[in-house]
Amino acid sequence: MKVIALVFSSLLNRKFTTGLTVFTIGLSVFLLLGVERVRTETRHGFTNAISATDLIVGARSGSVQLLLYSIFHIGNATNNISYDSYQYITNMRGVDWVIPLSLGDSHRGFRVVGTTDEFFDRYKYSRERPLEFIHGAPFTDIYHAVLGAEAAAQLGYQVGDPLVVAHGTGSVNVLKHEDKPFSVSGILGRTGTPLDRAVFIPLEGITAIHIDWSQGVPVPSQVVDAESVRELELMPESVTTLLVGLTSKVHAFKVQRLVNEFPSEPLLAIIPGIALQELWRVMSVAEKALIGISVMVILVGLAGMMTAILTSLNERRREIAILRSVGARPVDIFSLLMAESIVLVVAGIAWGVCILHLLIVLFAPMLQQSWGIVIKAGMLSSKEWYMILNIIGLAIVIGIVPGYRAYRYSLNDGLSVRT
Amino acid sequence: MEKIIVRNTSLKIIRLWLFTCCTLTLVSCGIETPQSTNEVASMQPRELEWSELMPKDYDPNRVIADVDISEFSDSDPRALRYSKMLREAWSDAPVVSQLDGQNVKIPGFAVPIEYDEKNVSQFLLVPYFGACIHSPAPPSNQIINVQSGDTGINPDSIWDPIWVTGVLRTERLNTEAGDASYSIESAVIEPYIESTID
Repeated sequence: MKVIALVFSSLLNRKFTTGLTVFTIGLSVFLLLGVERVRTETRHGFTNAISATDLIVGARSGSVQLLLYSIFHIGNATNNISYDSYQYITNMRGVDWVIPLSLGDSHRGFRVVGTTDEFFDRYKYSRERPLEFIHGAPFTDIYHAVLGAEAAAQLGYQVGDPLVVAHGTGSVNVLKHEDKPFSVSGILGRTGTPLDRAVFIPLEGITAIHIDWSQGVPVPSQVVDAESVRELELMPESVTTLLVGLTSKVHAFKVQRLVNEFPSEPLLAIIPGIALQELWRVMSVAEKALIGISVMVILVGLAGMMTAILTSLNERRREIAILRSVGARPVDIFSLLMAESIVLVVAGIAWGVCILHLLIVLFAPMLQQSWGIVIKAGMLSSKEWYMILNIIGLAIVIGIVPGYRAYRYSLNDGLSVRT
Repeated sequence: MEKIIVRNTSLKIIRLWLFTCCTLTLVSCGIETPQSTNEVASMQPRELEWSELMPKDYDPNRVIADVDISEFSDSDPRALRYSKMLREAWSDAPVVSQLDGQNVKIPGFAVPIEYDEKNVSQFLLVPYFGACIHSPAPPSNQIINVQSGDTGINPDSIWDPIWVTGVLRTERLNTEAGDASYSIESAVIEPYIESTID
């Protein structure tokens, strides 16, 4: 332990350089751990968004695109599914339940999803967890709306508050359905999935607000007021996507094939687990690039540390001579410099972990609100510990260089320094 | 004099430390082997071929035996009707009930059903890669519903073939529709390495 005490007093003698070195290493460690943590938490969020659903059906586009717009509300559908196809699929052999989703509207930047009240019973996320209502109940009227936890929190709505649906999926919309206001009937508990940022209304509600519109715009001569709409046929002509549960999972391929080859309409059926893995394959290139860059930054940081120690060696020759004069052998000088590298890197890692936790605490709420990604400031994962141990290992290897130079100095200089 | 004694002591300490490390490594290796021999001794799994999952007298092509489908182009409605009949026949695929309760080992590809970002806990085992995109899809007696036990699958490795070992069950799910399927619970999963020795 005397070695450690010596290292500390030596480093504290050069506070400014030491501080800079620790700071630089800390930043590079923060970058690596931060990238890894965001990557892991994003994967966790996406993977747990849906569970216990055997197939997702939409108009024919691409499997990753269908997954993204139907579950994650990223991007848009290319086309809708006719109501007839929806009914046909519901009656297909092997199909247990079908939940329709209708997309295309929004409320102040939050996506509006038209669905049936069966959605709240059937939808599962994160290993078959069901949805829970923390306030209110599912819809019982065509003008009811259920809010996801984040939507309710950001908009500050309570059960009973009015809500006007806008046309289009932008964050600010010009065309609104003001003549047919909705009221909040329930608020869901937080799920950590894109559902938190959604507003759910009944399918009949979607039809009602578009009943006097034609080709995407309201037609003044055909206006029907909110109450008269109730008399009309409100089952929709089309829906955007279907969540399908089967009587047995082994029928997944058979039903998927039948939907993909459906003769009267071009449809696409995906198995969510497969589509998700395809998404990761697309993203893995970017992920690997980010991790690669972070590793490079760590190497740069460690190289900088090595340079700093090497340049300081010249000024420390007197220090080394003093140590030799009190009985330190050249090998002790070597181990002293090695220990110095290790202490600097460990301090840098500790500092980096502190920055990581600090920034997570500061920015996690903002990330959750804007992107729906939940990042927790918890303990380091085993993978993160593995990275840290590797960095320390690198530090030991890098520490050999200044250690050896100091060893040589101590041999050459002996007990007095000739400068 | 003191320095020599100190050096000898430190050398002794290093030797003792190396010896302890080696012993611990060997002991931990040793602990693993008795367990696996116990498993092997109790229930030797039988290596199964996918064709064994299909009853020997089953011929799904029977429905179109007297029709020469090579005459039709792919978009001919008769071709579609016949392929639909074929598919219906495939979907009623019967299981071999004698296999129920046997400890088997079978290779295949996993299609994830229940999963989180670290582990796939339930998947469908199919005989070929891309069962979801290749035409035609495997019939229901060439699909096994597997619950992985303690060894799961890393979701990123579902594209690679695996060996699945476990007790095979034949379930009759929906008797009126004739649905039946194979399943394995608490499966042991290992990677499948193609051997070049033939």
